[in-house]
Amino acid sequence: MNSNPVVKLFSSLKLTLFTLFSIALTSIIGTVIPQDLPQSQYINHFKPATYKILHFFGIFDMYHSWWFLALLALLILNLVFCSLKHYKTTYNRAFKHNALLTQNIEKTILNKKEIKIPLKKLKIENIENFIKKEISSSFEKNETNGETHYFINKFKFADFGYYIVHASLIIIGIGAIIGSIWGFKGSINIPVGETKGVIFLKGGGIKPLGFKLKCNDFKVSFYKNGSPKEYKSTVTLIDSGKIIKKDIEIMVNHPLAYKGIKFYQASYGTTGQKVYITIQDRITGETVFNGAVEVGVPVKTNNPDIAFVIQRYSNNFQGFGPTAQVVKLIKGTPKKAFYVFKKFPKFDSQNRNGKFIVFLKNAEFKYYTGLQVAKDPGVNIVWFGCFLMIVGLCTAFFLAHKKFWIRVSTDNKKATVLFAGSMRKNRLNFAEEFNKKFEILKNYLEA
Amino acid sequence: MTSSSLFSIVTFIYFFSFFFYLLYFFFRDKVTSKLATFSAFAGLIIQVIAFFMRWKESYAKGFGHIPLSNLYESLVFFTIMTVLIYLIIEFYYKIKVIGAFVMIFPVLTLAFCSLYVPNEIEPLVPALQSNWLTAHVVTCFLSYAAFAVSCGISILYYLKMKFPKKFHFIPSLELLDGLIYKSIAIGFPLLSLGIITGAAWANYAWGTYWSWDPKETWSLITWFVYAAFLHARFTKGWRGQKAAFLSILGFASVLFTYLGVNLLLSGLHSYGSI
Repeated sequence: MNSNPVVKLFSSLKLTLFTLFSIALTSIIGTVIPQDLPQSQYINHFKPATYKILHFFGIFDMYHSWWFLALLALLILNLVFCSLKHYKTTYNRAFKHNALLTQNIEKTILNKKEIKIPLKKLKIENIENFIKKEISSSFEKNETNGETHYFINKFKFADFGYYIVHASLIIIGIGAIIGSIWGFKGSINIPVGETKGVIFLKGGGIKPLGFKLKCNDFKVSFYKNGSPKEYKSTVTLIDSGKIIKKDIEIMVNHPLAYKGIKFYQASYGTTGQKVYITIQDRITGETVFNGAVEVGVPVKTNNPDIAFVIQRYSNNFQGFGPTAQVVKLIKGTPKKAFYVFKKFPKFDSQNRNGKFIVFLKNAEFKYYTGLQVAKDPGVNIVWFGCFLMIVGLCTAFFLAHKKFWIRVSTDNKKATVLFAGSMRKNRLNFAEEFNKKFEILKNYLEA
Repeated sequence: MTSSSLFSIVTFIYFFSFFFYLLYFFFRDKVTSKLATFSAFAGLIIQVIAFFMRWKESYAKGFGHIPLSNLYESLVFFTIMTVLIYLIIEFYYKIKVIGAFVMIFPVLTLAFCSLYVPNEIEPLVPALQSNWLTAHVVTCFLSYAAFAVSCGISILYYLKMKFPKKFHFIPSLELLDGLIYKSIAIGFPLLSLGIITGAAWANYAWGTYWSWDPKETWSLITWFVYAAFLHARFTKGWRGQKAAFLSILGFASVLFTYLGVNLLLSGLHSYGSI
């Protein structure tokens, strides 16, 4: 297997380090250049040549660009090859062992100590009690050539921690792919009182949900310092003409779930504004217009050359209360914009010259609630992968595979007990642990 | 007495602790070493009391929440975690010369806090009103603290390596190397858990567990740097100088994830400007 150069490349640690650092370094780009904005913003910001290069490399949505996905795929591939390459060694280390402490094995072990006691004093159950109490309840016992061998294989699964972590990354990847193929993300804006069942997908296009939501109410509340306290939508869920549930509250951190689709409180706004204004002739005092107008629709006066259009309406403009931004349209001259306030009816007549005075009387508008809509059939697989990752990391870092041997050999007068132990990592600490265990074993034997 | 004034007092106590650790580093006098540990411990206890006081004060304001919601509170929590993890390592391994190299972080952080960071108790905006807040912040900051400790030890490693005669009293390079690994072995699973709890929360609040927001991306960059550290160590046997370098690089990435992203880039985690 190792002779194949392709296999060699894909299972090399150099590739792992290269990929890890490449992903880490290139990821920085996307945190500096804002991602996934409308194209026009990038065109305005960059020179045409720079724009072309950045566009070619997909920098404006770099985490989904071909080369970034290729790097992620390379990492996964590398991880699979490495795991396959080393699996057999790890497996053998964990499960294939010499339960007999022969002299050949004895030579290879760093930590070993011997104790000799008179044969009369030797009680085999003392040794077994020591193993059960101090090391592990499960051990292997063999008797050959008049010698008794004990073998304890403790935390043999610890060596597999890394494989669990690697497997978890693959599982998370699978979950993410399932989500991106069979799931969708989108948004829906529902004005209060209206019912809607079609969402706008994130990548463009629309999608009917197969059921409908009616927005009964939307409320936003604020703390004293002006920061938002709560956004709350109240909706009714309607499926095939039947009301499934009434008065469901959707808030931030309180989504609604139905048929695998989830709705999240994301934004809000106002819609359907009607502004009531009066236009008066300054000289004659005659009312030339009195009624409701829509934002952006011009209002004619009795002078065919002059019209007014409300450009914007705000319920509370810079603390001045209801305010409208009005534009005066005169044929052949540039537009002129000015403000009128409901609270200050004299403001317009005092601050602006001209034939007509505009009064803001009232305004009607309603809120719409903006909901994020998401379906992700892969999400539970992702959580399972995350759970496995933590299990794997804890196994890898906090458990260590340890092996202990005890060999009891006897002659006419005395018994020789040889205690040996090995652990692959952290040799300094293990030596200390081994010595402590040996002292305890001595106490057991001399009891 | 308010929690804020207690936090200022703690800044001075930590400074004394740092100063004593530094004295101990140069003169290895037993009394100063005891004073250093004592003041670090006393500071920690006062700080934990102040933490709970601030929690209570927020209820008095009518919008009670655990003080983990803005830049000031998170920096304070970071210092609590760093001192806690450091003291655990000191008691466990009985090594005091690292002290000055770790205590410098809480001292600088708290000084920065009291000079530049607004410390008002603010109500929670809707996105933060979640039980995930505590789990996410605690795991992230425990990992940051563990990485801060490993960075401090790495600096010590470089000192010992460059001037072995001058710093003969610094524990052996082998021991330092082991400690660097151990603090990263604690930090890495915690960082993973921090990222996972953040993803779970994001999924619960917005319906997306990963959106390549700058904070998320930088936490992943940090994760990759430490993953590289671990792989290089386990399979290539990168130890000593190379490992110490990667550990310092990793902590630089932690600092950028934590502060750089919020102060320099925009995204979901912005604390607002200072």
